[in-house]
Amino acid sequence: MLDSVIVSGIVTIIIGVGGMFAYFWASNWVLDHVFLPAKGEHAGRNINRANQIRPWLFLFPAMFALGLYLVVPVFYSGWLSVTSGVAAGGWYRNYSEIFANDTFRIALLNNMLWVLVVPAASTFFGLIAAQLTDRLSWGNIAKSLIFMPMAISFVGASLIWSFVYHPDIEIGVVNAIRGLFGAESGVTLIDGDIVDSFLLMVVLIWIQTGFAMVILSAALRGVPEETIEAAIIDGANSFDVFFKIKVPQIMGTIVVVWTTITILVLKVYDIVAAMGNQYRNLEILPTQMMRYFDSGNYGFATAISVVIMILVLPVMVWNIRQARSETR
Amino acid sequence: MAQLVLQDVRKRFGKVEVIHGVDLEVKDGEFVVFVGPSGCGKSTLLRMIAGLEEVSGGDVVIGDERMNEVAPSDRGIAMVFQSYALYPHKDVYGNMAFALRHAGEDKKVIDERVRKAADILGLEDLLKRRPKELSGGQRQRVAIGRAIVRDPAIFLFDEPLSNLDAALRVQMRVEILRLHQRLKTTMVYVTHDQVEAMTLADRIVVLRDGRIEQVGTPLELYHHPKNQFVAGFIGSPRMNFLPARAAGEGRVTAAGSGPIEMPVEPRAEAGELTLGIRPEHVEMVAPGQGTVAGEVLVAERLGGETFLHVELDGKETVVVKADGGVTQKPADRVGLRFPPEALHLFGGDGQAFARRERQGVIA
Repeated sequence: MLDSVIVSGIVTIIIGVGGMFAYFWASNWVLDHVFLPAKGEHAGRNINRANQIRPWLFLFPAMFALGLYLVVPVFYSGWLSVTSGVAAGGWYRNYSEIFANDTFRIALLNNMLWVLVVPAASTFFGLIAAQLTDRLSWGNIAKSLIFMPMAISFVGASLIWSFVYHPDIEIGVVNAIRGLFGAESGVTLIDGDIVDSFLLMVVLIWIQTGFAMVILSAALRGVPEETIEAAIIDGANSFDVFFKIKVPQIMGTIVVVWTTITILVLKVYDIVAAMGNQYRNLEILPTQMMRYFDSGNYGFATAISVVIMILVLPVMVWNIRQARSETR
Repeated sequence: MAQLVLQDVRKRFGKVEVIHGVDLEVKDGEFVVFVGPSGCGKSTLLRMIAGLEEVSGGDVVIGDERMNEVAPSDRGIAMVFQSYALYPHKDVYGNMAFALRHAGEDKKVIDERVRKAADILGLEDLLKRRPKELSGGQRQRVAIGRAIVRDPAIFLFDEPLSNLDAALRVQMRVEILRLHQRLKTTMVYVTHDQVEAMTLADRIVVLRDGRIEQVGTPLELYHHPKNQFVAGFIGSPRMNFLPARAAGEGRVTAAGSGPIEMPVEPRAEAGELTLGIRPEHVEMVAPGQGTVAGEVLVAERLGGETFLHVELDGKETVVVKADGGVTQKPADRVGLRFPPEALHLFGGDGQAFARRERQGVIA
């Protein structure tokens, strides 16, 4: 049994790697010997043309796979959103329907709250954690602890926090703390209030602070020590050094971290599905999309997915642009 | 009046002592250069004056005040760093104005002082530029401008020219000299380059392994080095050293030479001696004449002058600074004359024999 798994694994690797190698070699050979041979009266011209074609030849497998699994679905979703179930009304029927829907508007509002709060809080806490842990002798242990939630799946994290928020005073940490101050019985923390979204956001902040901390800590270490010493001689205290000298110098990285988390937040689904699925007030766009998808309403589902994509797009562009200028 | 006094200043990192008790007085308006090989503690000493390193022992006194525990910004010093240490997110104006803005200085005063500093350094047209849009020399000027604006009692320079190319270094060296002549402020300057030290300093402090080897004017160090280390460090190319033996009556023999009369005060010395002579003082004569003889190994021709590396018959190598037009080639035999008045003599412990004062030598 195990043997056959290993054998088939090895065979797959050989076929995959060997196949790609064969493809690169064969396509290259065909290009150089059949289509544009480097001999005869057009030898020079042929070599130049072959060199222009070659990169595309080698890029083709990757572009094909990405196209098949990424680009085609995007356009197909877009197509479905304007064709599926729009018999009555124009092509925009799905969009006008979902925008007229109260739950969609709650989801949109919640999504905006998530986008405003989570990236800001994660980046802020990550920045503070990065700066403080750098100065501690046990900073690396603190860093590992803060980073650890990154390794937990969103659903797992939701489960952990469900226990933290648990209504039973014997189980829930929050209620237990209330108990310390004299509360006799627990309260239900997540009961579908619109503000309960913030309790769910805490979970994602808890996860993402570690990510922000690690990236920003590396950036902070890249700040030249001499600029800090110059600032100290110029009369800056440690607070000024941090906010006026260090933070401005890593602003590019902060923006990248911020936008990366923003993109992630726009896609978050698991936490709300796991912790607040039954409450309409906690709905966000992806959970609503999945609800329509599950009920077979592909027109509405794809329309929401397009809305999400449009929301992500500008952040994405900014993110990539910033990341590029960082590496330059 | 002493502007800066170091009294038995020590620095320890953990259990390792890197500065072993430095005593120094710097007069008001003086240009003092700390020079020494890397790791000699010159930068650490400067950083202790600046307050960037804690003083482990002894006192740092600026003006009349003991500064050991005073914050860097309150010591009346300004520092120029090797890497310029400009704030990359601020323009030139912002870089120069940072300290004053921070001190809550009046906007008009800031503007006046920044523009005055920019005028001194020729930065008027660059005030709106960011550091990354400036050349190395311009950045260094901004760093100096940032120091000037603070109107310090002492300027501290930490190898400020090391990141510049050779031509620019010479140019900036002159600019720093002129700046000192203009501002007449006390300056303490750290460098590993003895040429910079010689050209800039009123007084040079030669450091080695956390100790002062010698303090003196450039020519004092050149003509009267206290020991073999200073003799070898000051001057380029470095002084030639040859093992020597006492030959009685204040004379020595070295590298197969006859007895040479030494221009030094005699002193009881049992151990091995070392004869020192600078390349520029060795005279080339016909083979068979002169003090010693040897064979040319390498000729480095710089145009105006030629450095000949000559292997003596005793196998020691002597560098000779000769005229640019000399025709000697490798493998040619030459005679070398050591003018007695140019010789240095060092004892077995490396300490120099005191040289007699002579006419025609400025000390």
